[in-house]
Amino acid sequence: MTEKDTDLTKTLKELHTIVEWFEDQESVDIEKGLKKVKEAAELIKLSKSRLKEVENEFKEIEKEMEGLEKS
Amino acid sequence: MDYSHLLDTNDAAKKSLSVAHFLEKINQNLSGEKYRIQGEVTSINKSYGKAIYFSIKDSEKDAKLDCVIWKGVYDQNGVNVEVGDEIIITGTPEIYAPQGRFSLKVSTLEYAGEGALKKAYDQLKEKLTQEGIFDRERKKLPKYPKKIGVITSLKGVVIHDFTTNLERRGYELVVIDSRVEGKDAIHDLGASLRTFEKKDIDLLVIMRGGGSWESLQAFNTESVVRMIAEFPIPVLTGIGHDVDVTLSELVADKGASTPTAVAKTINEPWKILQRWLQGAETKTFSRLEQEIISKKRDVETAEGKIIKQYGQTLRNSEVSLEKDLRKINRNFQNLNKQADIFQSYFRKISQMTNQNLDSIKQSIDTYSKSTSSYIQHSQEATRKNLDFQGKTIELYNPESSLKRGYSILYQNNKIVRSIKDISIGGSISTQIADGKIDSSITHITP
Repeated sequence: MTEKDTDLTKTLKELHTIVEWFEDQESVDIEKGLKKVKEAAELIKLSKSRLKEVENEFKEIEKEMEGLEKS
Repeated sequence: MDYSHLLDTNDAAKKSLSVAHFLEKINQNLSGEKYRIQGEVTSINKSYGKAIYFSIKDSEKDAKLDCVIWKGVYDQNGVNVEVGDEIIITGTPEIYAPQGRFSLKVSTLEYAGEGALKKAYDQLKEKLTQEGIFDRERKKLPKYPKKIGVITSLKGVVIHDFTTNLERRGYELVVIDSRVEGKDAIHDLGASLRTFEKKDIDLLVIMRGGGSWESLQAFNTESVVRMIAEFPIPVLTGIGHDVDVTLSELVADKGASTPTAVAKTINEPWKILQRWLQGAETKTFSRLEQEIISKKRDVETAEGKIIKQYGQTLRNSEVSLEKDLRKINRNFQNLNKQADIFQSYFRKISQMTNQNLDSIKQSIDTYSKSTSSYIQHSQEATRKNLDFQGKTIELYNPESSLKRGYSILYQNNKIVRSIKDISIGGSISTQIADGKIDSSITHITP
């Protein structure tokens, strides 16, 4: 999945599910935990990239709008 | 006016004119000029079909003028003239041929003086109010018109004020230059309104600058007021006024006091839209910005929690591993001790074994020696035995027998042991010490 294809809402939901999984465990199985951490790392990476992308696009639009207001 | 051609005595002597022709010529000349005359109405007759006849006179000098106005034109002027009214009429002079009467053919008729104008205004307003013309539902002005029709005079500052204050929004302005002052404006306004009725416009603007009550009379004229009321497209007026609002403004879909105000009225929806857009932009942007910040925080929180939780798991595992290692170490130390013990046992066993080995070695040596002697004796006995056996075997060797003169008889490579094995006529082979003899059997004796 590329950053462009990332559905941020879906990715964050999956990330929350992993957080909940960790919170629900009385004792975390180290192997399962590692698997979850790997999944979470991928989701965090995608989320951050997408957020950065959204933020950049947002700033570009903002600049564009500021330009329109000045013209 | 030059009447010299009519007074040419030579022409007159040569050719006389009929009365009708003469009056026609006079009227042709008279119709070239318009006059504006003020006077007091002395008589009025509205009962002659299509025309209304009235007379005016000066208040100071003894001068009387007969006038005629077509009923349609009279109605257009929106007045209700009565004897004693001071009026201003505009028209062309003519001689009415059947009666040879000079009169002014009136095109516009208006009240002179504020009082008379006010009276006419009030009367028309009352009449139109009774009809409900002011109560009718107004057409909504288009928020963002594209084609705007403008009726105004291009002389003066009105059009300048309007276009200067109108924001640049890509409007297409269609302007008709019209007189807007005095009674003469009635005809121009009427014609302009009719033209715009046929044009594709979104909004009609009628404007003029401020002026005296008298100069605004065209806008208080019934025909103009009615055309504005019935105009199919929304009408916005910008007719300056003093005390009373003109009836045109009252009947319009929206009235603004000045051309500048008209421009601002057209600008207003754009300004509202601009403000709304700014608000929407701010709200949208700040909302999305908040959302981005919130989502970033979410990711960081999730990341923190997972790292914390899994980090704890790893630490727990390390602790558990250390415990296990310590346990293993302890066990290993025990094993070492046991190994030491085992080693000392092994050394002891080894010593013991070495001692035993020496004794075994001695025993083996002793045994070996006795065995060797035994083997030597046995070998000698065996050799002797073998010699004896050899000799015996030599005795029984066929070759030895053959050498001693014996022979062996074969038939078909089989040893013949009995006369039963052979028959007369058969072939036999005899093996002797140094060769073979083949022979035929001729006789057999048992």
